[in-house]
Amino acid sequence: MTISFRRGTRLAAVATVAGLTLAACGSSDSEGGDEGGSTAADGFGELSVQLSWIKNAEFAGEFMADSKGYFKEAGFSSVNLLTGPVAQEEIVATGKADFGLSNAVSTASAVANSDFPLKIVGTTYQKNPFTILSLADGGNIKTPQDLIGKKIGVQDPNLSLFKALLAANGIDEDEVEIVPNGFDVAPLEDKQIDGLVAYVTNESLLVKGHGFDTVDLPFADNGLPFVAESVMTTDETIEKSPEKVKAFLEAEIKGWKDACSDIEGGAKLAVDTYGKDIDPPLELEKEIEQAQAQCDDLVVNDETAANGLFTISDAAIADNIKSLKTAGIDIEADDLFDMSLLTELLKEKPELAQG
Amino acid sequence: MSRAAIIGRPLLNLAFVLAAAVAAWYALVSLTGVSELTTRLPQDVVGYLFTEEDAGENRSEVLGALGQTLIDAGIGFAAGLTVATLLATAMVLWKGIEAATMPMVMVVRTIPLVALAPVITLLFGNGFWCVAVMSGIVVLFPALVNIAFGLRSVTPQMRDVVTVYGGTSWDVLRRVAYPTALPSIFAAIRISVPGAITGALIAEYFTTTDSVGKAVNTSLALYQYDQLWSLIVVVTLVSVVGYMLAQLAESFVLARYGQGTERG
Repeated sequence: MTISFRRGTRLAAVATVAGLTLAACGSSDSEGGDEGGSTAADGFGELSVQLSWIKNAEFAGEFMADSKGYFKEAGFSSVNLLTGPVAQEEIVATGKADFGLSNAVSTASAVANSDFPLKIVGTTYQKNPFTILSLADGGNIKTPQDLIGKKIGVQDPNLSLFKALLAANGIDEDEVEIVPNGFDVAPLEDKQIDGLVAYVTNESLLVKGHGFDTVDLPFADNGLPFVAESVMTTDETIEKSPEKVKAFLEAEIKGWKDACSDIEGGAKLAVDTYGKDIDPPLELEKEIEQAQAQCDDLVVNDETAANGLFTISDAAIADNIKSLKTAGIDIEADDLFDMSLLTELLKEKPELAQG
Repeated sequence: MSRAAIIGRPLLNLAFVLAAAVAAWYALVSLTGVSELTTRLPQDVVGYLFTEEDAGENRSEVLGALGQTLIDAGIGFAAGLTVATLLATAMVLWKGIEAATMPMVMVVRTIPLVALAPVITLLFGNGFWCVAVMSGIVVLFPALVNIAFGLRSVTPQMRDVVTVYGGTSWDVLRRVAYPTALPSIFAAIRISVPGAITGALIAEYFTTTDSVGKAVNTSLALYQYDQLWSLIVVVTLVSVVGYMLAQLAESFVLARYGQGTERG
């Protein structure tokens, strides 16, 4: 991986300018507190977070943190939660949002393929929720081998991920028929396709809710474990405003603790407040189910019980790097993960790590 | 017109088009202020395709996708032009055909292809026929209008000459109308080249093969901006060169028929 001369010099120039601004800020006081090495006392200014999906219960923790004022307590003057899905890495790297939620594969792609200056500093989901969703009386895909000879709907952005699943399980690409498909579940329910790349916490529950008997083949349990809804920010933010990162993580952890202890409350925030304009409207029952499933299976595990929410153990990081390799992304752990700020935060405030 | 001039002029055109495109590229990137994380300049694309360590691999990926897109565009080009020529001929021979088909062609043409695409994939699946139909639709309309116009531009005097000698309307078509329509047919061919490529790119979004239309989408998802920009560059280049080749063929053929290169 090389940074071209052009980009290298421009980055240096940006850094210099930022440094001068910082120096200027130092002489006057308290103005423009969101730039540079501000602390909670000065306030971090406005916070913008790029979500990875529409505002459903997937972000119950963020909704909790916002509605209960945890972001404000942490020193942010206002909170702007931006709806996805978009190219979250691009939004964060180009400074249109302070933090973004994405997954290890997507962030690693941006870092490895285009030298985006980003790091993952913590994660909501310990396991990625990607699955091959099928119907029991249709594709009935229970094992990777069941994929052979089937027609699978794959969204273009997930094409390489799906191919990585095949590679991880030694299945030849030619043995599976890939059909371009959006996230619409209708083709699956109409049996035009045998399986669909989906979220175990979202589409799976949606189809189940429509009265179908569903079968899941989770990527995480079939050779492709990696973190998702992971928090990323720029190298510059980590370097210049470590306190801001810690403040954000603190509010997030508090929010997610609440979301996992008050499942219904989190789901209701999604349905009644944050996602009330979504069309077709969110269904409370499904959102509760989703909030429950994500806390049980993805957000909390033995490691987070021991180390605290949002932490990623070294072993988990090694698994992530291995999965990325399977997906054709060669990256060193240190170029993708920076857990130092979260570790610092939990040392300063050990109560955050307790359940 | 001398042979050198016939080849020279399109080459000069090509050089001008390329220079203008590169200048516009630099200007856009530097003036719009889009983050350099996502933009690439000509030298980056050259680096990606030729001088980088993995250039060979990059090239084979990009050219592989381009090859498929050329096949897809070729299918659409042939399908669209064939249907256009047949329809135009039928319209000239039988007045009723025009009244019956033009509204239909207009309808298909007025609906944006992207909106029409899901219906086409439902009807034709997402394989060969989908590509042929979608790419063909883009080619069909302008080609049809041009060719029909050309076929109609036979003067009554010319028609009379053939009829006086006992020729049928088929003879009028074969001996007078087609040669008269040659400039129009070539105009149709020229504008069909980029049209067919556009149609192919849209169709590829809905099909599964490794092609430029697909690769643009996946490279965007994986933040492979080098590949993305390279794909755009090669497909644009091919489009321009294809147009130029059509122009060359036109010059040669029309010179042979003594019609010069005045555009119809």
